[in-house]
Amino acid sequence: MVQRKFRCPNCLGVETFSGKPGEVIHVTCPSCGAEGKVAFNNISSSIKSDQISSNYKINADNITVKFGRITALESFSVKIPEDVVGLLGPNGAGKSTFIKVVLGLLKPERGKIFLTDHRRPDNLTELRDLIGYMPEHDCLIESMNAFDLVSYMGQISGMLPKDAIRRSHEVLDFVGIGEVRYRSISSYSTGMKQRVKLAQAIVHDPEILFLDEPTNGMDPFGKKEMLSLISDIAKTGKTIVVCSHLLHEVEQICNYVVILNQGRLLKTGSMKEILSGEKGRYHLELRGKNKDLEKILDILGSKYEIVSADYVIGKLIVIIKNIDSSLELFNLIKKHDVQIRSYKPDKLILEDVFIQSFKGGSANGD
Amino acid sequence: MGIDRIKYRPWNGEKSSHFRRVYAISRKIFFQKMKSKGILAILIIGIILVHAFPILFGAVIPHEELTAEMMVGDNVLIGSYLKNGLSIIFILLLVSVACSDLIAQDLNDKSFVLYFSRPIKTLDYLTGKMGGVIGVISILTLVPLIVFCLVMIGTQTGDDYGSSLNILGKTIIAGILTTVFFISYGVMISSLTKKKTYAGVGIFISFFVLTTIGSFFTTFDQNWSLVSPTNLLFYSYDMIYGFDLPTDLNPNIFGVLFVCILFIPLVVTYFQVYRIEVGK
Amino acid sequence: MNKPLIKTVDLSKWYGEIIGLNSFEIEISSGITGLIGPNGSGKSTFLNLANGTLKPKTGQITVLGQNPWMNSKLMSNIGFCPDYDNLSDEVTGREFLELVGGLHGIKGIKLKNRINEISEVVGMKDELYRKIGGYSKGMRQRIKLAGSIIHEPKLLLLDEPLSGADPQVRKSLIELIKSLHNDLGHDIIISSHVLYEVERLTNKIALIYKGRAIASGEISEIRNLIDEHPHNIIIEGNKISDLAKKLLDMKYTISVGYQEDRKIIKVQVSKPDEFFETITELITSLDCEIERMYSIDDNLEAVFNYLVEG
Repeated sequence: MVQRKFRCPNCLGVETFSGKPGEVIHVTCPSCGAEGKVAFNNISSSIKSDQISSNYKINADNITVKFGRITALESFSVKIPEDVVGLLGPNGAGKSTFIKVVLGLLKPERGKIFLTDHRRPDNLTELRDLIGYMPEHDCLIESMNAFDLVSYMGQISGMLPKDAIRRSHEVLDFVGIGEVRYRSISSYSTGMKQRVKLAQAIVHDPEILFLDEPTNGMDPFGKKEMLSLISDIAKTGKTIVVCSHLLHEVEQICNYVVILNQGRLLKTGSMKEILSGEKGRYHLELRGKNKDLEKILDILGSKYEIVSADYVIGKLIVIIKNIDSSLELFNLIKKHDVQIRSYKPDKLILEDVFIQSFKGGSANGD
Repeated sequence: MGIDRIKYRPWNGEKSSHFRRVYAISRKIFFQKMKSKGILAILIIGIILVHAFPILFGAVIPHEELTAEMMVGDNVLIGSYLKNGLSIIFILLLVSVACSDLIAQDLNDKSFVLYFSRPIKTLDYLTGKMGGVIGVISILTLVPLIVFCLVMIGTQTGDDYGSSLNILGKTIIAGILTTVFFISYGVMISSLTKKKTYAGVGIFISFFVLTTIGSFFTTFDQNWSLVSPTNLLFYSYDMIYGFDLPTDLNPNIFGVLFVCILFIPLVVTYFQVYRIEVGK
Repeated sequence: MNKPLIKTVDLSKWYGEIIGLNSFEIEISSGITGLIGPNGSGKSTFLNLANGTLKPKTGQITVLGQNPWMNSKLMSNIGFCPDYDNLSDEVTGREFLELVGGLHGIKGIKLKNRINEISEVVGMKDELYRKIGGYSKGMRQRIKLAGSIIHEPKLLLLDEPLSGADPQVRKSLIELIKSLHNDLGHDIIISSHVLYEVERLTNKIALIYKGRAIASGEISEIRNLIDEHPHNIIIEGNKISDLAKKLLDMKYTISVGYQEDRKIIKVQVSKPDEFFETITELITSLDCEIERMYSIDDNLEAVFNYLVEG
């Protein structure tokens, strides 16, 4: 049995419940009486959060934004759940515009944004209070050091100075900025600047986070760290919207996906829905000498239905349908001089879904 | 990575009032500026060169009370105390240095988004920034004047403290006017460029240019002297202390130009920043 | 024919305290070569040394047999497409190409024809009249590429040309780069931090990490490199505990542990290649039905991670 903290979507209070890892149980919030489900994650290395959210957090209704003759968003309606959500689309699709509308930095010609836990912020400052924003571009005040900047921003977000100072240190520890926090930001590497940008976005513990290309310019180790930081934050029940064009990263941490292009909503759904393949369909990677691979491909083709075969030197990736028994397949392959490097149920990768959504996009792939 | 991985902890503290948020900006600006060696140097040298002698002088020479004459009139030894070219130069220098990066820095770093993604509007941002810098500038434009007045009142031989305090009050107004007069202009220039050096130099030079144009054209028509901001300021001092404008000056023109130089820069600055708030 | 395109001997370059390349030794021959390393590993430094923009601190580099530093004659034989984008938004695509062509000494009718040729090649012929400010990211990459081949250089140096591109754009850029070699005969060195993209372009890879050359050779050799460090392999199926017991007997097994539930195991092996050679037999001998099997570490990221920790 473990005890975990969860945030009630109705009254936004943080409550503690006990359960077994992997369990999903019905609970009643002690503060407000709302009923819902909570899921206890496994403490394993799996990065994804299995928390079930029954509420949509942000509801964008029919938003239209125009800049002169250019329509940035056209009748854009989306419900963003209280989860880690990937906001995807090519450059210029309207992702940044949408974020600006939610932040109140742009006024839409038509349409409204509101929070579906029955609060409709009447003034825009109330809404901004609930949001933390990590912009894509360089935006840090170079003359300050990280600690100064983060506590300064905390105070502007409404924290008392002593709280801001303590919290600034806490948050900088969390993102992995150590002693260097006392040095001027102009001396920081890209990776460090990204961390500081994250720190200033979370210093006031907002309910909603917008992260625009959070792993931009970071080395692989840093990217991994950033992704697990984001998942960590998600465990406290926040709504996190991640804009990224790195689909394999989005796949790793997001549970919900919103795809847009040219100002319109293309596709939306939970990651599971979007990526589910069919039963009996498997993805197989074989390695060996080219002639052996060619031979095995023929043999597989005669026995099974092959959906696709991708061949790079020394490596063959096949997607096969209607496999009843893996044993049969393995026995077949064992007779030939090739290695089975990987065998798994075929799920679409996000990239395929992404590209499919754009069938009908412009010719030079923009 | 490892068992000691630092987890994210939520924060449920109390929120401060809106005023405190703006105050945080002012406070940060104020302390940032005060740590600058350049600004401290200008403050110290300025106070010594412009105010030390008059204060000493005033304390030592016997006088019955503090009068308006002492503030704006010509004194054979030090010239006019308030209407003093050297004083203006130091104030201008201070304003140029202090205001140069006020908004230019945020333009350069593109850090507006950090402010405006928080519950801060353009007005709050500007109030905060200007508030901080007003604090710094007033150390040169207001505080020494108050000290002077208090010293004079303290050493006066007469009994009429009432009228002396009256002059003190007017001096405070004059000091505040001086502070705001320059800052509104300085902030505007800072909002027009990314490079703080350009802004600083721009503030300094443009004032001189205006002053020169003013004095040059004065030979044609006395009203041209109003183009010089320095003169505008000096004439306002006169009015504060109860003296009249020189008779060959058109009071309407004076009024209009005065309001212009005080408010137009603020309006321009507001729109510059507002454009960024909604554009970014 | 066998003379290398680029050869370096003990090449080092540092900027103050920051090391860009550290005793970098490499030989690159003709064709398309991928230079792969994480962000900050020295790829851009290397390319800038090769195109004569930077001067080595120690060691030497020869490109097409010559020293590139201050060598304008060599420069006319090299095309460089940097990773940063400093295109001016106000000029049209055509004006940009005219400018670049002019800088290389191409003028008049020759320039006009050349521009038409290369804009056809990169697929931007219809967009030349538009201002660059209105181009999408993919289009900007294409016009940059066009600018780098306008003077018909023998060697193309492309610094992360696929970064920041959406999957569709990436696919079409990969095709374009392939055709630059296959159809137009340019030798190309392309830097990237993603093996997956480069795999589709070429068989020849060089790995760079923290300013050092780690390995170079064909993809299969790189794959062997990936196999030189321990792998963690996930296996899910029935009779998995029997399989686990059998794996414990194998010499290459470092550890076996249950994941999440007793139907999934994670096996750590010291010799992945041996593992994959024998696992199929092991599975079939036990009549196991497998739901999935794959290695978490079968990628370059794992190699770099290994290098960090090891």
